[in-house]
Amino acid sequence: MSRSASSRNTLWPYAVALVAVAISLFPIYWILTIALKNRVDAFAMPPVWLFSPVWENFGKAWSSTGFSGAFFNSLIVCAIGNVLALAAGIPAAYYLNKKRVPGRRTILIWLLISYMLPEFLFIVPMYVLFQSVGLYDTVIGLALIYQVFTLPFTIWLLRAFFADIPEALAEAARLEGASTLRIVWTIYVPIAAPGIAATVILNSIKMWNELTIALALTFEKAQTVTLAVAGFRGYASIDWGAMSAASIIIILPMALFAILAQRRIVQGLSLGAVK
Amino acid sequence: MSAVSLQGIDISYGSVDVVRNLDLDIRSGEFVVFVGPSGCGKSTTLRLIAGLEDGRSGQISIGGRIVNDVDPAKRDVAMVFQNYALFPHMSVADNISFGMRLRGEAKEKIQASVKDVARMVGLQDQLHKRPGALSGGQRQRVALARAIVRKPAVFLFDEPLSNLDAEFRAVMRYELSKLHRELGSTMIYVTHDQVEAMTMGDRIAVLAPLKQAGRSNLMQFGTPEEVYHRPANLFVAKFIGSPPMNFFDGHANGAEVSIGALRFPGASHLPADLTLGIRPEHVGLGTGEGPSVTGTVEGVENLGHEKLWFLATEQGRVVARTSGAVSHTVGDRISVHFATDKIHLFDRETGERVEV
Repeated sequence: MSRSASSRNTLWPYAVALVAVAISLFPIYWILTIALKNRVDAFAMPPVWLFSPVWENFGKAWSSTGFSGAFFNSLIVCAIGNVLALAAGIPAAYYLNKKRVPGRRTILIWLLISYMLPEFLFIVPMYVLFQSVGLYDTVIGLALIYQVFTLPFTIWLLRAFFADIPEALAEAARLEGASTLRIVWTIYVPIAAPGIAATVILNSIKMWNELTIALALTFEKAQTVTLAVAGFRGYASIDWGAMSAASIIIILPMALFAILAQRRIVQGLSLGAVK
Repeated sequence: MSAVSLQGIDISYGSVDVVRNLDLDIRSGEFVVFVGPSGCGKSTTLRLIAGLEDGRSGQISIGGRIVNDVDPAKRDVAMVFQNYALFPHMSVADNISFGMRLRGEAKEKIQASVKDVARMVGLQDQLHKRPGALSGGQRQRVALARAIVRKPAVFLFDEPLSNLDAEFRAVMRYELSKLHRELGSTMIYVTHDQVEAMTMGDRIAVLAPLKQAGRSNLMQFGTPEEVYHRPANLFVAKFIGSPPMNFFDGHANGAEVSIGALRFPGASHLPADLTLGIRPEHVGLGTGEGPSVTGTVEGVENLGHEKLWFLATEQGRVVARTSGAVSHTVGDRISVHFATDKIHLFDRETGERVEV
């Protein structure tokens, strides 16, 4: 192959990747500029590309009624949601990997179906139930209802990671006297840690961005960030600057999480790729 | 009292029978090898002894105690797996001491035992490393150390050398045999490699897949000399020995056994249809004693100290093993003679050995 043909082959993937990244990141860049501009510059046509950033929108967003509370609610819901998903998902994934579990196929299909069901299906029946048991407008209630998608997802993902762990390790541990719980905790969980980390990150992103269920099953006390951002929309006007700043604030945790853990995500998702 | 005793063992996976009617008595301190081709049930039987297999009937005893329903950890056995089964996230020291830590033994005792065993297998400088940083041979020693530290009544080895290269395999064969002499423990070793079986075992259990076997998977249980020089049936005769035994279809006529024009000593009680076997080292080339035919040299493998000759004769293909000094050329027509006292006779219908 000639040098110029080889250079073209290298340049094309980079060019395509650059375009894809630009398309993905442009909306976020635009929101960030609105958050950092004053009202006049924010919607000036043609757009103002060089400007002095203003920070008051961020202060306004953070101190607006309920926003910081909603931010911490979302963090707590993600934390509890992940703990519940892992507490049930890890043992379930371990057992569902065993070939001789009765009804294994049926359980796995059922989990897949429940993961694929649209969220609004759960809202009406759960609204009534939550009201009657006192879980309405609570972070624990929200974390529980999010198990509808986090738990099947966790089980499916962890089952694949656990399947990559040779069964001989469990047998060797069993010969040494380890109980099943000890085998799961001291052998499977540490080895599958990248996969567990990937699962936690993906679950967190899903729960953090969720709106429909939060809208139906919370009111004020357990309101999440997605609802708080929607709250910047008034009856007669929209505070675009504060809303944009709020959007950037809520993107930051998941973005930082993903950047810091991106190696774990790739490691975890490619765990089974090569034997 | 047997160290390990298997009586009437049947193992099936669903509707598929894997092991049938297996009876074995292994003496204390013995090194027994289970050898056979894939699918003969050797690993399955080993795992049954360890307590890692279900779906069986029959009785298993270890040290005189029936252990059919005893938990694997309480059978006083230790196993070295084919792929070593080391815990990749633990150091060598933690791998070796895993069982001791589970049992809550004292830290000082754990440290001392780990150091002793590591020294025994030559890993005293690797204790802090993880399995990923070790070579295949070193990982195998860690697996061995983990078994030794338990001081079990019975060691179980499931093809532990199959993942090592040929050179290192020979070294480890010697080291395992040495370990057996030092510890004096009962060891059961599974392999498909007959060289390992012949060089390491005090006794060899030759197993066959059920479709080739018949009543039981166990084809012969004897010393290396017995299975090599007096194979009990055609399966053992074909499996043990490299290159394999030469086989010819023969007929018993009164006091003689004939293969074409060749005549060998027979007896009147022999079945009419026989299979005659003779090992390559008992086939001579050129002038010599015993019945002979003329054969054409089709090929030769020169191993230095010996040569393997491939000859075409009227009775079929013959393989002969001679010293490296013998010299012929491909295409030569030479006399091929057979030592009559080294002939093995088998009933062609049942495959069982018959004696003149």
